[in-house]
Amino acid sequence: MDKILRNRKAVLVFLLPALLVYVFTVLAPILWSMYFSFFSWDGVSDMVYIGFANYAKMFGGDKTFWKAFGNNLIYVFIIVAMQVFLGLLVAILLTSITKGRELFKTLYFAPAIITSVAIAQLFTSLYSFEPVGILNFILQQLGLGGWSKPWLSDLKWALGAVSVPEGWRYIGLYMIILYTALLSIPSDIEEAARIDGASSWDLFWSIKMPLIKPVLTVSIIMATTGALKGFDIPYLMTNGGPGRVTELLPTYMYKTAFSSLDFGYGSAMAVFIVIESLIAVAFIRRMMESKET
Amino acid sequence: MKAYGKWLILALSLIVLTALVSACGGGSNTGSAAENGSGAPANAGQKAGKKTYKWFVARGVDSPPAVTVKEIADEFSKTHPEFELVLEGTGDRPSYLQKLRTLIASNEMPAMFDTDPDAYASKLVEKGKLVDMKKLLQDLGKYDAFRPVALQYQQFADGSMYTLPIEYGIEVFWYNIKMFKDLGLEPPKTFDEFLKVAETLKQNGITPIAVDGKDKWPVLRYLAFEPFRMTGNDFIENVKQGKASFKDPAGMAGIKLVHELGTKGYFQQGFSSTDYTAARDLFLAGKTGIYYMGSWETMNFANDKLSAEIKDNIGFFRLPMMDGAKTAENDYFINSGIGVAFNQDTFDDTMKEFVKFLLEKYPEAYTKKGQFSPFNYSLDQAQGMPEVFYKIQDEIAKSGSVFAVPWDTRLDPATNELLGNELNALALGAHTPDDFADLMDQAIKENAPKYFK
Repeated sequence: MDKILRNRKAVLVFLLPALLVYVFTVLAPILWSMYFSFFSWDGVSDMVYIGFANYAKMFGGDKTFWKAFGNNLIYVFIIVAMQVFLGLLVAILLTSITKGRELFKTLYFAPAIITSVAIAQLFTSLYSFEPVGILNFILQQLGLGGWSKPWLSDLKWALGAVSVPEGWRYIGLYMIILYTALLSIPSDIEEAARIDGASSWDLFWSIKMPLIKPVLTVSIIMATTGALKGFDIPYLMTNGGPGRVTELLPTYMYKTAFSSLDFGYGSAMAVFIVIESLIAVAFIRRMMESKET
Repeated sequence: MKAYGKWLILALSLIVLTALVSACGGGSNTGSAAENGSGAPANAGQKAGKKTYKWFVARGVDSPPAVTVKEIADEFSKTHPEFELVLEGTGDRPSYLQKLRTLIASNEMPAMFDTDPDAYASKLVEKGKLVDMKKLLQDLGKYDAFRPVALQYQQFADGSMYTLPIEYGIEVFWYNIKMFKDLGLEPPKTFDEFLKVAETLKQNGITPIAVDGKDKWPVLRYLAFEPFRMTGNDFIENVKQGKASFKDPAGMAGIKLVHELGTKGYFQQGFSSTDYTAARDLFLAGKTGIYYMGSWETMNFANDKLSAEIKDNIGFFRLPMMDGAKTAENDYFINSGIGVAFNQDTFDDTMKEFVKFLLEKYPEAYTKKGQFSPFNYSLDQAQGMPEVFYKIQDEIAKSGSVFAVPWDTRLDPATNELLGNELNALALGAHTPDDFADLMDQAIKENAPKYFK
């Protein structure tokens, strides 16, 4: 088998089927979206070619688009912070305990396998004000009744409220990834550092962090691109409302195409989301690399 | 050894490729088989194959209308073994519409599907994709068996009709009789009284009104109440084309009502994320005094699962009046539900026969489920239905012939989408009434020309 894998041509042949599937399921739809984005089309009437008008509208006059873009950035920020940094924190804590490690791992990972609809329902009732949900109930019991509010209907808090479930959901996933990375650090490096008198903080910041950085970069990229195309939970919980305060680019794109029946404009937004994700990946790579030097 | 390895690779990759190709081939084979099965009329002389017709249902496959039609279809299949009706449904309206429109855009329109007579449906009619229901009902001699309002509701503005009504409902304000009595309140007759009732309830620590803000249409009703009283349906029919403005007195009256109800806290806190059942449960749990909903919920208000305190204390009142109202007291939102459209391409003789059979059986089967049918058909006291059922049945008999049309079936899709979103924001105080009116006028100016010429 080793010999086969050393043969370049053989590897190429094996890669081919996957590539074909990938081209049909990923590349083709993107190209189709690009094509559609030059048309005005409602799904029933004939398509009308309008050149770059959809893009002009997107970058020029569409306030909702930019509102959704801004919301999306906040959404990405909250989610990456929760998923990667809380995930890393939990992973570090896990490495320093021995008892009950498997139990903690399983419990933290559990939300990742629950469906979006269930999570949206769960958090909707958790945030509920009337009838009172757990969150507001606890606040009232703690004597913080003034802080209790209908979170999902509050113009200031709704965006944060719909971001948290998605972040919470995948803390466990990134915990597992980063935990595995931490475990793969050879223990002799750690011991050597200890002998040289490194404190726990030094050990973490100067030894462990650089060693898991490739994994951390991948995690940040995954969390960011995941959040950039965030859709299901915000859509299910608030449908972008009230008003547009929880509108994200993907929910706006979806509604534009399928509710407002403007497939062309929706496609232009889809193309924008692809480009935006590519830029984000490039940006994160650049940032993580420059930190090294 | 090297040569052997190469052969192995070649063999393996061939296997993988064959598997892939055959998988694709297999897929298309079953695809074409299904196509043959669905709807294509069997040739005479040839052995009649099974014809599967799909009904894409907007109300959930376990809703009374869907269950009733399915029962009748199964009965029909006994005498017509070649006929089979398959239901596919989702209760969530936005995702239903999105799925339906995607199916239609990709040329896979189901044999039957639920749709309102909205701007989108009229485009399908223009393309000749739907069966002319008015003509069909006249051919079958069934046109006069329906309540006139039920048929009018399904018509486009020009009087043509392409959807079959299978429901009938009036919309009323349900209220908690005991709660009103305790506070010395009477069911309000005018909007001024309505607001006073709401204020009294609120001051006594009761949330006045439960509303489903997530689905948007229940809040949209509140926007439409006063314009309907002031102008009938003229306001919406004009404003949707930009011939009237939301700044007109009728528009502003509606906007101000929603703004007031929302910002004064007459709707339950967090209403914008409350869904249909949660809003109803708030009312049924005795947490709110008033709940606006159609008569299709009647049986839920006579449900044995309700606490005794609530169960015998649910009454209803009509849409309030106002000075200078153009519509009568017994005119309000009446509808025959979302209608069923039939695909012209798959509408063959079997299907026509099925529709005939359905129309014979439907009124009785449906009404016995505690529902109100679009046919001139009613149950007498001997049938032992709950009291509230007969009260609504009486109210239906007394209702007027002018009825309010739901705005979301009239506006163009893009404006409708925007209105649904921003209306909740208006009720939460994010827009002033004037700003909201400007926003809507702007949206109509931008979007309406594509749909109304």
